[in-house]
Amino acid sequence: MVAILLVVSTALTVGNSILSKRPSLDLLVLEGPDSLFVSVQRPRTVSVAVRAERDLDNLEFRFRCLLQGALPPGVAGRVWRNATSELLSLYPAVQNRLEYFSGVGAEDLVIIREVPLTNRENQRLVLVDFGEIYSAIFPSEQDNESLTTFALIVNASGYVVGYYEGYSELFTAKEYLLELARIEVGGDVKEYLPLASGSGLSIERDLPPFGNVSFSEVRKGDVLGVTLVVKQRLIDVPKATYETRVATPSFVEIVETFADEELVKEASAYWVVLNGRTEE
Amino acid sequence: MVRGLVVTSALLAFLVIPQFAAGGIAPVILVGCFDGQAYPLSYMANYTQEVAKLVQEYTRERYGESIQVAAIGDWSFLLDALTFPNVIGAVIALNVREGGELYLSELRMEEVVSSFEGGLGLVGIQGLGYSPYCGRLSREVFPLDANLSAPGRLIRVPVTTIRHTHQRATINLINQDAPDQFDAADGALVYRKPVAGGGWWAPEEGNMTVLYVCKTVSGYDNVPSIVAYENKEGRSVTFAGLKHTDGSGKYEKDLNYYNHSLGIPAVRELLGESLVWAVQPFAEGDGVEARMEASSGFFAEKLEPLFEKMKMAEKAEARLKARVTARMLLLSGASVVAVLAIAYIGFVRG
Repeated sequence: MVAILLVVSTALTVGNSILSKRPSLDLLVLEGPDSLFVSVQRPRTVSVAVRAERDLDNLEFRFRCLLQGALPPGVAGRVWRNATSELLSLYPAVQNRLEYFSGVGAEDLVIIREVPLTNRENQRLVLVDFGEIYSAIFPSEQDNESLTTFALIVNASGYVVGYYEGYSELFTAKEYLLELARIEVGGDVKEYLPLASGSGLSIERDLPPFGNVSFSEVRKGDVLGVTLVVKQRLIDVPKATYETRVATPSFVEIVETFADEELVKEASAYWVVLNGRTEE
Repeated sequence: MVRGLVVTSALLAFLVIPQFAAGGIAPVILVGCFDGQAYPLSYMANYTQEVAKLVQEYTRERYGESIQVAAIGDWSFLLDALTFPNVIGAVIALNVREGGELYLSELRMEEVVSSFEGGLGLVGIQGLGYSPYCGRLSREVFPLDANLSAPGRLIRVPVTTIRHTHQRATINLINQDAPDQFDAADGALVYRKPVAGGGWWAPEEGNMTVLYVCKTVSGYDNVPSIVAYENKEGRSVTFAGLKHTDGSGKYEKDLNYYNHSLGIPAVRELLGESLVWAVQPFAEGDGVEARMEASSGFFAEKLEPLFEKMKMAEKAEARLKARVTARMLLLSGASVVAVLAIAYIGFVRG
């Protein structure tokens, strides 16, 4: 009798657990490069695509592109296990924003989370994102102007090994560095080009602002995706843009997928991308 | 641009959610000194803190404790914050450096000009008035339209500094208690060439007053060194000098270097009084209360959709939990029935 009870209840519990974890999305594609602007031909595509497994009010891909910055004195060589706030206070760019937005009651809207890096084993990213606040406060033409997102890379031993800061946009200096951007929803594909004229869609002018690609009233079975094809070489990048947006040893490219405002971890990625041109 | 929406926001103040009650948002004055010698702009934390203390001292004395003074170490956030409606003023220093350059987009300049004219009190030091760096800001907000930078006289005793002598040109509220003449440590002073023989270059709009002039090492003796300006709702004071840089490049290590200027009573008096005058329309009287109410309305209107999204996510999670609980109860019930059925068939009937 007891054995039967155990078997039946175990089977039901496992069944329930499987049912409760049923995903809202089926991941079709999630890929990003390890390096860019290197002499050897390598993949130059950032891509995410999902199929809705149920009707959704809203689905959003949030892109962020961060550039490597310097670690302040005293950060490297110290183990930081549970000291996110202390660590972040060392960066005026982060601290100034945290303080200001707290002062106007927006502290709950600042996203701070730790996530594993997609293409580096045993390293995690401490992400601080003000992108949603910026997209709410500033007009869309402002999307490329201010730092909105910050990240620290922490290795398995707890040492901070990298600092990144950047923008809420699909890719850094997208108007110069993207060859193509493609947004797909339910079989409808829109392609954006660097120098689109006439009715063509332009990377600089027409892509959704603040790196947020949103879809509403998504139906079960709809396929939604974004693909970015990065240029092979760094040509035609103006000096000021090069110095502020491109001259970095590495980038962090982020895509986070939200289904009805809930982060879908399986369809989100955090890549460290080596900038080959800067290394040369 | 953002400030332009304040009036609309004030009308929407009834939407204010608790976080944005007017009592909770304070008027803010920003202080950011980017006098470092490296490119890109290098923030000078120690110097900024000293200037912030000075600003706090003067604003507290004149306007009470309600005004917050915030040291800002990130150039792009400083530009962002100048457009926020509860920011009433700022002291900003930029270091003009030979061969250096500063990226300031047209959009950013447009925003600062628009915020200034909409109602900001600004004090700009050195590079802000230099047109190759700051373009239209150097004409429409910090009206020096400078295109050259001149070093001062080298003084070796008691400490090595580079100095300019400033001579009063006009007496007004800002400099009424300051001396007719004073020396300050000016690593360099920016000016517009050709220097006008009589009078000074002035922007087409607004009201500019030259408070002090000085003589450059190249022999021009009529160069505006401190200038007050009013246009539309904005007020500014521009210091053409006060470049806090020494030739040794040990700036960051020499904690006392900036005190060569900030230690001079006339410089403290003029910096403090300049800020007090520049923010006066927004720091006292009914104006400040109305502005903070409008700020509350602005942030409520802008951020409410995000709070709604957050609530939506919480509700979705709660719904999911409720579904899981209901399913668990259902399955538990089913399991009891199944066990009883198996027990009945296997043990009772069998």
